[in-house]
Amino acid sequence: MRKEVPMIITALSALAAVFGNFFWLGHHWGVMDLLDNWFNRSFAFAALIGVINLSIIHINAIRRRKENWVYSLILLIAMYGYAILGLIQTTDGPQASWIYNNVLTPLDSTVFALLAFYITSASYRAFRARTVEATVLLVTAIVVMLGVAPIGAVLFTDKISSLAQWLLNYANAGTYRAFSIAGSLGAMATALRITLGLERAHLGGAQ
Amino acid sequence: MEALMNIDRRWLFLVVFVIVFGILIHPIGLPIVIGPDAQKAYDYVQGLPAGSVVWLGIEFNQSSKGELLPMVLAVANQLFKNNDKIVVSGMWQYGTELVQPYIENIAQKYGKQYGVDWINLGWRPGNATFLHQATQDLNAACAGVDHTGQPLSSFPIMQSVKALTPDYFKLAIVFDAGTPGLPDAYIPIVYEPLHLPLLDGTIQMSVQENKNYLQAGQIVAMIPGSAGAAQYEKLVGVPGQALASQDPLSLGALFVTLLVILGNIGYFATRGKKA
Repeated sequence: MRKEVPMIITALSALAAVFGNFFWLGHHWGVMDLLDNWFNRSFAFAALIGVINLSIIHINAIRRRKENWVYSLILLIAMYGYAILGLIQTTDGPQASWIYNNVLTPLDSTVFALLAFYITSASYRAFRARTVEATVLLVTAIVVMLGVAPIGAVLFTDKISSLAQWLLNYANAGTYRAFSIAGSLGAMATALRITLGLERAHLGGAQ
Repeated sequence: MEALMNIDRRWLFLVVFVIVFGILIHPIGLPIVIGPDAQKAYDYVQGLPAGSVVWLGIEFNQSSKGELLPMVLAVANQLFKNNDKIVVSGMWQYGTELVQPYIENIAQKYGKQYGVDWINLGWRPGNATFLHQATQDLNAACAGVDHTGQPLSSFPIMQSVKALTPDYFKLAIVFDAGTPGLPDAYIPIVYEPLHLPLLDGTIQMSVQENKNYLQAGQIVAMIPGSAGAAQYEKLVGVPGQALASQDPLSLGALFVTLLVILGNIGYFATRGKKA
C-alpha cells in the first residue's frame, strides 16, 4: 500500500491535468484552476517540510556544537525571526520591508556584483584554444560579447553586431530549439512512465 | 610568456574595479547604436492609440534591478508622454514595490494622477492561478484592493478595466527575469488563448530563450538586456542608469577580450616547451 496509494494519486493527478488542459469540458469545469490551487498549497507544504528539515539539521548542529555552529544559530534566528515578523505585520509591513530593503537587497546586489570579478578571472583562465571546438566557442563568445556591447560597433563598425545577431538568431536559436524540443519529448516520456507506474524512483527506495 | 598565463587574479579584480568605478565617475560616452529589437519595441508602443491601457508585469526583483528597472522607467516615460494608462502588477514578491516610487515620480513629472491614469495592483501570489484569474476578473484576482489595500472600486481607472484581456488592454509589457514570467505564464495564459499582444523586456541571460517567442510571433517585440534598455532610454530621450552603465560594460568586455588573447598567447608560446 505504501507504493500503490502514491502511484494511484500520481496517475489520477496526471489524468486530471491532461483532462483540464486538453479537453473542452475540463477547461469549462475549471479543472486546471483547481489543480493550480492545489499546486500552490502543495508547494506551501513542501516549503514547510523544508523549514522543518532545515531546523532539525541546524538545531542538531547547535546542540552538538559542530564546527561553525554559530552560523546555524544565525540562520535559525533569521529564518524564524523574519517569518514571525511577516506573520505579525505581513511582508509589506514597515519592519519587514525595512529588513528586506536594507539587508537582503544590498546583500543580493553585492553577490551579483561579485560575478563581474569572477567571470573576468574565470574567462581568462578557462578560455584556451586547446581544440578546434574550444576555439570556435572562444571566438563565438568574444564576437557575441563585443557585438552586444557598444564598444563593438565603435571598434569594428556595425558588422560585429550583425555577426553577433546572426549567431544569436540562427546558430544559437536553432540549437536552443533542438534542445528544448528534445528536452520536452524526454519530459513527456518520463511523465508517461510515471503516470503508468513504470517509473517509481520518486516514491523512494529501489525501483 | 608563462607569466601571461598566470596573472594573479587579484590584479584582475583591481583592474575590473578601476574600470567600473572610474568610468562610472568619468563616463566616456561611447556612441549607442540602436538595435532592431529596441527600435521595434519602441515603434510598437509609439503606435498605440492615445489613451490605451497597458499592463506592466513586474516579474523581477532586486537581483535583476540593474537591467530591468531602467527599461520599466523608459517605458513608463514613453507611455505617460503618449497619454496612455498604466496598470502595474506582478507575481514576484517586492517587484511592484520596487518600481512604485520610481513610477510615482514619472507620473508626477507628466501630471498623471494615481487611480486615474495609472494604478499599482501590487504583488499577487499564486503565479499561474493569479494570472489566469486576472484574465477573467481582475478585481477578484487582486482581492478587490490595490497595493496599499485601498478598494479598487474607488479608483476611476478600474471602472474601465475589468480583466487582463484585449477588450480592456492594448498591450501587456512583461519585464521578466525568470519564473514566473513570459514563457511559463504570460504566453500560455495571456497570449495563446486571448491573443493579447505581449512585449517582453528581459535580462541578457534570457534573451535567447525569449527570442524564440519573438520569432514565433508570440511576442510583438523585445527589449534585450542592459544594452536594449540603454537603446530604449536613448529612443525615449530619458538618459538613465542603463545608458550610464554601457561604458563600464563596454570596457569590461574589452578587458575580458584582452585577457583571453593574452592568456592564449601565453598558452601557445609555452605549449611547445611543456611537450
